[in-house]
Amino acid sequence: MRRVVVVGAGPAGMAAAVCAAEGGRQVTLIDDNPEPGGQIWRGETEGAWFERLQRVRVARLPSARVVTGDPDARALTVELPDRTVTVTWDDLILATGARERFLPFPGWTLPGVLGAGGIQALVKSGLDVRGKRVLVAGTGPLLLAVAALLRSRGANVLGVAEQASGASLRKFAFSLPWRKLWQGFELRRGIRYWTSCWVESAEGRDRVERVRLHGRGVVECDYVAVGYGLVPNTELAQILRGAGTLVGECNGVGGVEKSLIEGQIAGHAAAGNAAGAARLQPELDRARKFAASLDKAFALRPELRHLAQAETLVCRCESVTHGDLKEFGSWREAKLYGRCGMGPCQGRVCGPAAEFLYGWQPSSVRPPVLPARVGSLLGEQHE
Amino acid sequence: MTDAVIVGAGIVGAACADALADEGLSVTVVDSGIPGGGTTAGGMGHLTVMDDSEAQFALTRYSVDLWRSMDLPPRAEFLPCGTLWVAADDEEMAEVRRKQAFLSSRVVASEVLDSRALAEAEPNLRRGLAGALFVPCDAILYQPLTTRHLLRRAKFVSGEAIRLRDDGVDLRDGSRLSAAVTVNAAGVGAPKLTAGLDIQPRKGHLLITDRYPGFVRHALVELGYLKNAHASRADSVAFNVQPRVTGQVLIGSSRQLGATSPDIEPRMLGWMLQRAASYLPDAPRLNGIRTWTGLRPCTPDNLPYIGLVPGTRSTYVAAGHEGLGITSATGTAKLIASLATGRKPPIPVEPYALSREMVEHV
Ligand SMILES: Cc1cc2nc3c(=O)[nH]c(=O)nc-3n(C[C@H](O)[C@H](O)[C@H](O)COP(=O)(O)OP(=O)(O)OC[C@H]3O[C@@H](n4cnc5c(N)ncnc54)[C@H](O)[C@@H]3O)c2cc1C
Ligand SMILES: Cc1cc2nc3c(=O)[nH]c(=O)nc-3n(C[C@H](O)[C@H](O)[C@H](O)COP(=O)(O)OP(=O)(O)OC[C@H]3O[C@@H](n4cnc5c(N)ncnc54)[C@H](O)[C@@H]3O)c2cc1C
Repeated sequence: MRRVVVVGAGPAGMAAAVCAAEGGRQVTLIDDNPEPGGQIWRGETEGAWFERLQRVRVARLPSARVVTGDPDARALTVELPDRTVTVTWDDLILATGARERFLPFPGWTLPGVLGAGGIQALVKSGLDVRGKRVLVAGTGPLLLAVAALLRSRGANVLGVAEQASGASLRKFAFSLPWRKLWQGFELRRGIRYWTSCWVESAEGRDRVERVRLHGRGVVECDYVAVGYGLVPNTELAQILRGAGTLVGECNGVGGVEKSLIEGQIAGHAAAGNAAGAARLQPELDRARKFAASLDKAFALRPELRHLAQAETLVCRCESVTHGDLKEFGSWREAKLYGRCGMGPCQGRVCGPAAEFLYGWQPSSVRPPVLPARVGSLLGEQHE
Repeated sequence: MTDAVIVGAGIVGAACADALADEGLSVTVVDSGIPGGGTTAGGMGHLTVMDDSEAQFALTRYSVDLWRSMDLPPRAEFLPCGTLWVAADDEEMAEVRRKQAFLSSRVVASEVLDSRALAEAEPNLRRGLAGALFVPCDAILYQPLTTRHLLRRAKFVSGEAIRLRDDGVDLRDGSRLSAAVTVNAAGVGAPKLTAGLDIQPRKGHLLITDRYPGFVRHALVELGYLKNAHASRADSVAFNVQPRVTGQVLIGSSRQLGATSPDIEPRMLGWMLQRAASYLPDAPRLNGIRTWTGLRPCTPDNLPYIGLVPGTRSTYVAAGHEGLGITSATGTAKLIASLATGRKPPIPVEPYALSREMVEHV
């Protein structure tokens, strides 16, 4: 029987796996976390999609990292904690999601300065924030979700600093279905929300003690959660040179509804259910329109390019500063001569920052997608 | 107008620029990419004395001496770690002794290690290897930044050369760089600029790991390397592993004629890594973080073209260094500089002359 392989068990991957399996296909669902759920449903077990996933027969490969693949052999190399396996596909669906964008500012590498999604994941896996003073900053709707979660776990959320202007957010709010608007208000109730506001610097001796906010002076805090939007994880898709259908955030950031719709459409298509896929088209159009309006409303302002000082790190892995990078004219030069992006994260963090700061286009992606045991790349036995 | 224009800012062109600047010439280097971004960036940076042939020995030995006497900045990551030529069995041990005799008769120091001594020198090598030849003068460096360093006195022009003449170089954009001397150091691109050069790309794969300081301590090469890899035209792999100054481990390498795409080929990469793992049983446990490929500029007799283009007054070629271009860049550059200034070359140049092809093929 032909096998559908889905990489990523966030909302998009779960929806794809469920629809393909409900349509009678044999499905394998691969994710590098122990449980399905992706970013938004991390640590959860209840909800319609979890129940549907329970009900169908889907072979799950948890704690499994797809480190590379071979489009000619239609095979993925999947690293498990104790061994490496090859998974072959007849139909491939890539639902690898997105990661946070970090922009360098003085002090961004101090302990206590975390990504907005990062602190969210930590809290969900047990970080105690009761009574801690937390400032949430950056851009996008994710900040509201993070602030709400932090408060529900007993943190003293000092406020949300949103870099977008009030004017561009108002336009965005009108363009939303009222449901979304309401959700936004619900989350915000009781939390201060400053627009056109961003962290200029973070200071502290051993860890962050205070931050300087644009136009609002100094704020004392225990944690700063900063996220400047999301960057699609397209590396695996690039290595696979166009094999597979991209769904969810890796196909363009647009929130959980878009992820779910795209996942379902791909799942139906894999099961040969053209009608099911077609039925969702109007919803998809709406979700994509919403994604486009997100992009516009939360576009990064140019001032953010000028926060980094000469000694501010841009590449954490290799300790490359903003000043070090001044002499280079391209990402390739920065890599080859400056070691920027040459560390274990391979530019996943500093690459998007450099693209925004300096306008450098990232160079081509080569395997492995993630650091991989040499043993995982041995392939079949030779000789 | 400068005294010399060099096409190609790889390590060979850069070394030529440095050597010509030493002679007091003003130099312009033109490249369509970034300095050291061609094959030079794709290589391993092993500086090694080789003895495939007398001519190869003469050039690599002279070149390694030059590298060692050069005042390189720290960013060149020069690591004087020497090479261990690893012998798997008695047959390869015989080759160790032959190689040692060859080197010692030419006053190059080397030392034979037995099985025990090898295990002490490199504890991560598999047990039961026959021994090794230690060649202490060999070293490792980081090619891209070394290339940049060698270019520091030259004027860099970004552009694609379409024609070399005695009096200058024509660029694709219609402009022209005038000079009294021109040098084709375009690596695998050299045949496009000088008719009759037989240079074929020979693709190689590499992988670099995260930091594991001390995992290997010398440049490690299997002794079968020459026999298997250089001679044959079939695809091949060889065990060739280096420590880097950063503590990373660089694992090579493969050889393929006729492949020109820079893509990683899972089959070749896997085969190469299996070979490395057969010598370093713990290698599979290391985390690999990046892979890449490079195209070696390969000639039929494994010797580079260094010399005047027949029928010209002052148009030179320095290209076709195959898997030894990092090593032999310095020697190549001194030869070009002596030819261009009309002085006696430091070593005989005839083996590398462009015309040798005809002699051989007749
Ligand atoms: C850090 C973070 C926090 C977020 N929090 C919220 C929130 O609170 N509220 C909200 O509305 N939206 C949030 N979002 C946006 C949210 O991601 C999307 O709305 C939605 O979850 C996207 O679903 P997805 O299935 O497309 O991707 P994801 O949920 O990101 O799922 C992708 C999955 O693929 C896995 N994966 C990726 N590459 C590989 C690989 N090579 N091998 C194996 N597995 C792989 C990932 O680990 C992940 O589990 C967050 C996004 C991020 C990045
Ligand atoms: C996997 C691998 C491992 C290796 N390991 C080693 C090693 O350990 N030790 C060693 O000594 N050697 C090694 N080598 C070989 C070495 O890398 C090469 O021999 C050397 O880099 C060749 O240098 P080059 O300057 O001739 O070529 P390149 O570095 O390719 O430089 C030529 C330059 O010319 C430019 N160019 C070409 N055509 C034009 C044009 N028309 N106009 C303008 N510019 C042009 C190109 O952009 C390029 O930058 C290895 C090679 C590979 C692939």
